[in-house]
Amino acid sequence: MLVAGSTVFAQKNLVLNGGFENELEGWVDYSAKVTPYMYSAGKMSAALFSSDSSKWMGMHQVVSLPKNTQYILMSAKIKADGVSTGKNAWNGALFLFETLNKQEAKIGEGINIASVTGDEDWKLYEKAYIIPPGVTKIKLLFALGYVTGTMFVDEVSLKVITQSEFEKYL
Amino acid sequence: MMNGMVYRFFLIGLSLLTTVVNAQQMAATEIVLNQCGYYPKLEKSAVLLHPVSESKFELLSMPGRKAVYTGILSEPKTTGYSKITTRIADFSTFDQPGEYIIRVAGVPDSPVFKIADGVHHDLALAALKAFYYQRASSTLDVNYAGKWNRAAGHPDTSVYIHPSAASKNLKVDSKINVSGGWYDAGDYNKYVVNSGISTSTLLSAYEDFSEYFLGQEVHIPNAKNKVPDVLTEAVYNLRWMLKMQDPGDGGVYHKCTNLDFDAMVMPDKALSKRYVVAKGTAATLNLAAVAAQAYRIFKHFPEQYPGLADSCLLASRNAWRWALNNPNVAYDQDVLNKTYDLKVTTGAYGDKDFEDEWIWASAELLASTGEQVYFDAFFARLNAPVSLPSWSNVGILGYYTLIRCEGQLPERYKSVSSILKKKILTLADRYLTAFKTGPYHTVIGASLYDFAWGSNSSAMNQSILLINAYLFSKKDAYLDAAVSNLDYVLGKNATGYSFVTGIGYKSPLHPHHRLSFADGIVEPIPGLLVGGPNREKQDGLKYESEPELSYLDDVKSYASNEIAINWNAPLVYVANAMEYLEKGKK
Repeated sequence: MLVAGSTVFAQKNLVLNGGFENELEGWVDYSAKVTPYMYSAGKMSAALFSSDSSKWMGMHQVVSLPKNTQYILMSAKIKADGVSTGKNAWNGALFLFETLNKQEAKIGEGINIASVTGDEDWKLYEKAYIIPPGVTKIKLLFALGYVTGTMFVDEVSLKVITQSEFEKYL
Repeated sequence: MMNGMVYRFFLIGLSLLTTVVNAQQMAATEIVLNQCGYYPKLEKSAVLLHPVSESKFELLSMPGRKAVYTGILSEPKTTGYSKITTRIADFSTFDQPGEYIIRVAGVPDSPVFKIADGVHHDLALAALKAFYYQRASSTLDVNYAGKWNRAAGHPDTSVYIHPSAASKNLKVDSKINVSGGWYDAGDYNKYVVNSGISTSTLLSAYEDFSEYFLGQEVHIPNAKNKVPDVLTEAVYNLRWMLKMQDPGDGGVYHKCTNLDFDAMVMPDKALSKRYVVAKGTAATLNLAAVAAQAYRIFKHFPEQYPGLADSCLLASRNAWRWALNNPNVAYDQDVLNKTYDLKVTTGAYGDKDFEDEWIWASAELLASTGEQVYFDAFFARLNAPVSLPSWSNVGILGYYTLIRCEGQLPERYKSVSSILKKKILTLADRYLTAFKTGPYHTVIGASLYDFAWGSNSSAMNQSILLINAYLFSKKDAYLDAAVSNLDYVLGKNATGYSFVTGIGYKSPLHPHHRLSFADGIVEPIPGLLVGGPNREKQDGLKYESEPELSYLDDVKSYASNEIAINWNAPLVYVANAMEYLEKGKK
């Protein structure tokens, strides 16, 4: 997991409505809401709330990668309010991704970028990743994974980057 | 290699046998240092193991005891995991060859040590020759082995197929020839996964320093054919590994073994039935990797080894194909023993995660063939973190290879090496910090977790990583950090032991090693690196409580005093690399 100051690359953000300015357009939502009362940029963010630690409350978006993509940078800003700890160390306010093939079948296990508990102000989480052969899509997921509390999400981004940009994250 | 509960029974027997051996721990001197000495142009430091009020130290030349250098001791350093406080006497800036002692008021003088070129020459030869002494199925001739000459044991020309290894073509109790190879450790069994990293480390030493090895003579039997001794010795095990492959399908048997460990007897007296046991993905990918690397090297020796290179490449490709069809065949000895009547209790070397083996094998095959399929397999795993190698964690060996062979790679694949270098430098820089701040002015010992089973091999593998970082970055600090761990295994540690048999004035006399125990010779076979301090103390013996002191020079101490081929191989690499590289520092 990489936590860094904002690094701006010129490439296009492949996430649709990553700032939630168009409510939840582009997102598959199980329980998310948008809110104008809390945001990192623009005028809105997405909020996930849970009072039941036996549940997975989340949203996701599948992003198609341009052909021959080799390196990507995924990032999002997250704010946590009163997020409890769960039974497992990874439980928390989660930012993760899965790699998918052309048929949108999952390849391998999901990879965690952030797992936040307690209270935390807006913070940027980033992950530079090498796209293995056969992977054509990335599924970005945000969830309260078996915990209670509130999670805010904003400025979600997935960009194709160059190898030299990727190496800055090693 | 010894591990697990099965040794409880074994140790009872061993205690009865060791009537003569009374392994007395030798107390450490107060000033510990590299007992082989120091290179003039590289890092040089000794460690005071007790706090003193004095802040100065002096170097006195010998035999005249004339003060030639005065330095300031470091502030007292604590480990964070033990009660030991150290002070460092760093005399790196003093570069005059000679013999010296270190004097600090209030403590006994240090032993005499050297500053000279070639201080690790004898070690470099001995560590490599130790593999000759480990040869299975061979008579060791007095002309080469000296007083450690012995009759051949374990011919392994007619080894049984264990039920777990049976196939359509080879039924249970049929026999195959898997002669040769090295005994793995203190025992007389032969394990492919541990052979893999060991053989490859010797081959890598040659690939990195071929010019140096071409001129080296280790005094082992060779055909006077201009093949470097390091390759002659590596071929001895390589040929065994090739025999462990089922020619019918390309799969590789996990090990050649007895059902139980042999008694503490010489090899020719150890007559238990031998078996090859279960094929597995890890063993098969190990052969794929080593054979691909061997192809790259031995194609330059067609007259001396006709056909060997091509055979290796074919074996490697066949192994790769088997692994693709059998990507998750783990060796699980517990399951095996529940499944079959013939129980196997020798070293398991079980491994369930094969991603690192895929990384290594794909890298070796890519370096040797330049083919896209291997690049894709390697690239697919480039996100995986890499760490210090061990028999069960071999991914970074592939990184070393692709960096080493960058110049020979097809253009389209070359750019990936900058990612590999960056990942290696991240680890190297961490080691550099440990070296600069650590309580022993070594990389090893910065963390409590350094003191695990085979800790000395971790020290040597850290040095290999640092040497690789030096080779592509040319940053001298990495070389200083690398040599600091050689200082460590040669005496600059809390125990004051040089952990290599026959090297230094205080070295192990009672390694957990059947050959050294049973031969009736007082001195153990020389050039063997023992495991070293191990805070886990799995053998249940009584050790000092401090992690860095949890070492016993006792034949029963398999947790700290066994030897193993995968521990000696990185010693060979480091000692020889330093002998070569220090010459460039003049």
